[in-house]
Amino acid sequence: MIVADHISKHFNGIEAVSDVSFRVGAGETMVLLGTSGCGKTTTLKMLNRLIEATSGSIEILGRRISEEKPEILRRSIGYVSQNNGLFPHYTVSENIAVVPKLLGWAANDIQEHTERLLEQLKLPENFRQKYPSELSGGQQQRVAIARALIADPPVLLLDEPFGALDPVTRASVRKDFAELPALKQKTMVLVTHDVQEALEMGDHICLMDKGRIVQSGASADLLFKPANDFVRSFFDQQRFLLELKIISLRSIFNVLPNSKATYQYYLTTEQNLWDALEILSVRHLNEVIIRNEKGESRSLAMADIQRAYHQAKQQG
Amino acid sequence: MDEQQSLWAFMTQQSGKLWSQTVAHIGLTCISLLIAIAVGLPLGIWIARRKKAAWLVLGVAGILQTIPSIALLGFMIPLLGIGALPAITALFLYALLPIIRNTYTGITNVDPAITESARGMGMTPWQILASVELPLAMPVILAGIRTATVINVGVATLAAYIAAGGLGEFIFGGIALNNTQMILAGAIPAALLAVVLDFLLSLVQKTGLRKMRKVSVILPVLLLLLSSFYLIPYTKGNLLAGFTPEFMGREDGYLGLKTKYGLDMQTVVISDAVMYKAAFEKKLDVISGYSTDGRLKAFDLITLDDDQSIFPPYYAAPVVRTAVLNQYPELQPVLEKLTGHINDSVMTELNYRVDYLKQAPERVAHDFLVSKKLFQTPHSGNKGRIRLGSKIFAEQYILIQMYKELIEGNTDLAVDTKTGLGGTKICFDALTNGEIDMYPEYTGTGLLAILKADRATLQSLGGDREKVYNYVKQEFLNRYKLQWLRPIGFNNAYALMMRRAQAQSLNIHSITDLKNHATNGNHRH
Ligand SMILES: Nc1ncnc2c1ncn2[C@@H]1O[C@H](COP(=O)(O)OP(=O)(O)OP(=O)(O)O)[C@@H](O)[C@H]1O
Ligand SMILES: [Mg+2]
Repeated sequence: MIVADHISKHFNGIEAVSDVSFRVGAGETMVLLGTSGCGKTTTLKMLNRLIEATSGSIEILGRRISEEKPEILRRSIGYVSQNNGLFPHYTVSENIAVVPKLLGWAANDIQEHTERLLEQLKLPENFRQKYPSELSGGQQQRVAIARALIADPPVLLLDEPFGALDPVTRASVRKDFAELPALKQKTMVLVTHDVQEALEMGDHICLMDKGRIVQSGASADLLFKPANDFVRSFFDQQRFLLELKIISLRSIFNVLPNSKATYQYYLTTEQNLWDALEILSVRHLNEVIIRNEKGESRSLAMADIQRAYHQAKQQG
Repeated sequence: MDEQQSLWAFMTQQSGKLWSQTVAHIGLTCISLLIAIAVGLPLGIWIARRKKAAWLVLGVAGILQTIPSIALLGFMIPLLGIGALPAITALFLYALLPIIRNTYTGITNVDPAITESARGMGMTPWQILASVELPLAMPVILAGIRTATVINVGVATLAAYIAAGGLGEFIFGGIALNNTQMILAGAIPAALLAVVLDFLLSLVQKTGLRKMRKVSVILPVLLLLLSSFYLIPYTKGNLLAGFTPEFMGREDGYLGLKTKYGLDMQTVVISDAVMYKAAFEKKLDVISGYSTDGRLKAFDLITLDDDQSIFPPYYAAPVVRTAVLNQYPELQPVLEKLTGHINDSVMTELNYRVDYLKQAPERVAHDFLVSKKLFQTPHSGNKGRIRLGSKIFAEQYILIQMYKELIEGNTDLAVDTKTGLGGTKICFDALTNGEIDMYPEYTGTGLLAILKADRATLQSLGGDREKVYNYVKQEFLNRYKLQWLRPIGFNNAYALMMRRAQAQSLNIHSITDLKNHATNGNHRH
C-alpha cells in the first residue's frame, strides 16, 4: 500500500509537483496520467526517493520512506524508468541479476528466476548472453521489466514502460506484461500519457496538470463525471471509444434478454461495449451472444448498446 | 647501410648502458604514471561530482601542462634537488591533466538514465561508481592514460638533465658530441617504447566494455611491476659525480678519466644548467665543468689539477665560412681584435657577471669593449649582413655580442645574431649549411667532437696548444672550407670541480688524489 500525503517538489523555486495526495491499495494499480511535463515522473520518483520531496510525506507498506535508507528502500521497489536504463556493459542476465545480487541471492536462485521470467516475457533462452545494444527496443523493454520484477518486490513503479515503442510492439509487450503471474498481487503505480493504456491497466487514475492532480478516481468517473473542462477536453479526442470501452458487458448482463440462439460468435462478460460494437459491425450481425462465468448466455443487439451507452452518460 | 651497421655496433657495444637507460626510462615513465593515476583518477571522479571545482582543477592542471618541460624540471631543482624525485614529480605533473580531464569527461558522459536506474535499483554510490560509472568511463580514461604515457616517454628523455637517467643520456650526449649513432641509440628505443606502450594500452582499450572491470585491476598491477624496474642509482656515503651527457661520452672526458686515471666512482648524468648549483647544494660532490665558468666563482668551487693531461686545450676562436671572408676581407682583422684581451680569469669574471649577477650579456660585453677602448659607434651597416651564431651558454652570448659591436663599429656590415643554437652539432651544422656565417668554437671541441680525431692523431698532438690549433685549422679548411681565425686567448677546457671546503677537508687537489680517494672509499665496503 502506498499513501502520498500532500507531497510537493520545487526545483529551484519552480513547482514541478504541488500538493499531491493519493492512496494506492494493496494489489491495486494506480495510473498517473497527464500531458508531457505535468509532473508524472517527478511524482513517481519521489516514491522511491530518486527525488526527495520538498514537503509532504509518503508511506509505503505502512512505513514512512523518509525514515528508511534510500538504497534499502529501493531494493524492495521494482522500478522501470522512462528510458529503459539497462547497463550497456552487462549482458541481459547480468542486468537482470543486479538486484538479486544486491540482496545476496545464491547464483543458482538467480539463474532459476531469470530463466522463468525470460520465458514468461517471451525472450528466447539464448538472449541471456546478449548485450542490450544487440536487442530491439521492445526486447530491451522486456528485459527492463524482468529486471524490475526479478526480486519479486511488493511494489512496482513504472514510468511509461511501453512509451518508446511502436503501437503494435507496445500492445504485445503490454499484453505479455499484463499476463505475468507475478503481477497479480503487486501494488503498482504506472505513469503514462496514453489514455487507453491508462483505462486498460488502471484500477484508479490520477489525472495531472501543471503539477497538480486535477481529478482522481475510477476511469468511469473521469469520463462521465469530469471535474472540470480540462478533464473533459483531455478525453475528448477519443471520448466515444473510451466510453464504450469502460462499460463492461458484465455491468449490463443482467438487463439483457436471455438468448436462445446458438451463434458461432460470442463474447464474455470481461469484454466491453466497444468489443461488442466491433463484432456487430465487422461481422454484419444483428445480435451477439454474451456468456458469463456460470455459462449463462444473453443476447446483445445494437439497440442494447445504444441504450446502455445513453444510460451511462445520463448517470454521469 | 654503413650507418646502420655502425649504429648496431654502437648499440651492442653499449648494450649495458642502453639496457640500464631503457630500464630507467620505463621506470620513470611508469612510476610517474602510476602516481598520476592514483591522484588524477580520484580527482577526476571528485570533480565529476562537484562541477564547481572542475574548472579550477582542470585549469590548474592545464596551466601545469603549458609549462615547457625543461622549465618545469628547472623549477623542480630548487624545491627537490636533482635525481629521481624531481624528475618523477615533473613527469607526474605532466601526466595529470590528460588523466584528470578524461576521467572527468568519461564519468560526466555516462548516460544519466543509466546511473539513475542503478540508483533506482538500490545500488549505493560506491557500487554505482565501481560497477557502472568507472567501467563505462574506462575507454575514455584509458585514452587519457595513453596520452599521458606517450607524453611521459617523451618528457622522460629530459630527466637526463637532472641526473635521473633514462634514454635522454644517449640522446643529449649524442647531440652534444655530434654523434648520430649515440642520438639514435637513445632516440630509437625511446620512440619504440612510446609506440609499444601505446600499443599495449590500445589493446587494453579494445578489450571491450565487458572486460573493463578486469582492466581496472590489471593495469595498476602492471604499472607497479614496470615501476619496480627503476632502481634509484644512489649509494650513500661515497662521493657522487655528476657529468654532462657530453662529458660522459668523450674520450677527453669520462672515458679518459676511466682509462687514463682509472677513476671509478658513482656517476650520474646531469645537465650543465643545474650541475654547479647541485654541487654547491651538496647533491653532487664532483662535477665536470668548464674552467672559465662564472659559476665556479659564484658557488666557490675549485678545479682539480689535470695531472695526467687528459683534457686537451680548448682555446676559443672564431670559425668563419671562407666564402664570407673572401667577400668581406675587412672582416678578419675585426674578428681578431679580441685576441690578447681575455685570459681565463677575465673570462670567468665576465661569465660570473652574466651567470650569477644576472647582468645582460649585451651589457657585460659592451662594458668590456668600452673599458678596453675597443668600442666604436656603429657605422651605417648597409654593405651587407653577417649572421653570427652561438651555443647556448653565457660565454658564447658575451663573445657574440662583442663581435657584433666590433663588426658594426669597424665595418659597414650589419649583424644578425642567432644565439642559443644548442650544442656543437647544431652550431656546426648551421655554419656548414650556410645558415650562419660564424660562431666561436673551441679547439678541443673541433678536434674531438667535429673532426673526431683518431687515437694516433691525438697521441701525436698531445695536449699541445699550438699543435692542436694548427691541426684543427688545417683540417677545417680542407674538409669544410671553414676558417679558424686567431684564438682569443683563454682556455675554456674541461675540468673536474669540487666544493672548495670538501676538497680541502679531503685533501684532494688533483684528479689523481680524487681517484685514490674514490678507490679507497670503495674498498672500505
Ligand atoms: N531535475 C529537474 N530540475 C528542474 N526542473 C525539473 C527537473 N526534473 C523535472 N523538472 C521539471 O518539472 C516538470 C515536471 O517534469 P516531469 O519529468 O515530472 O514531467 P512528466 O510529466 O514526467 O513529463 P513527460 O511525460 O514528458 O515525461 C517539468 O516542467 C520539468 O521541466
Ligand atoms: Mg516523465
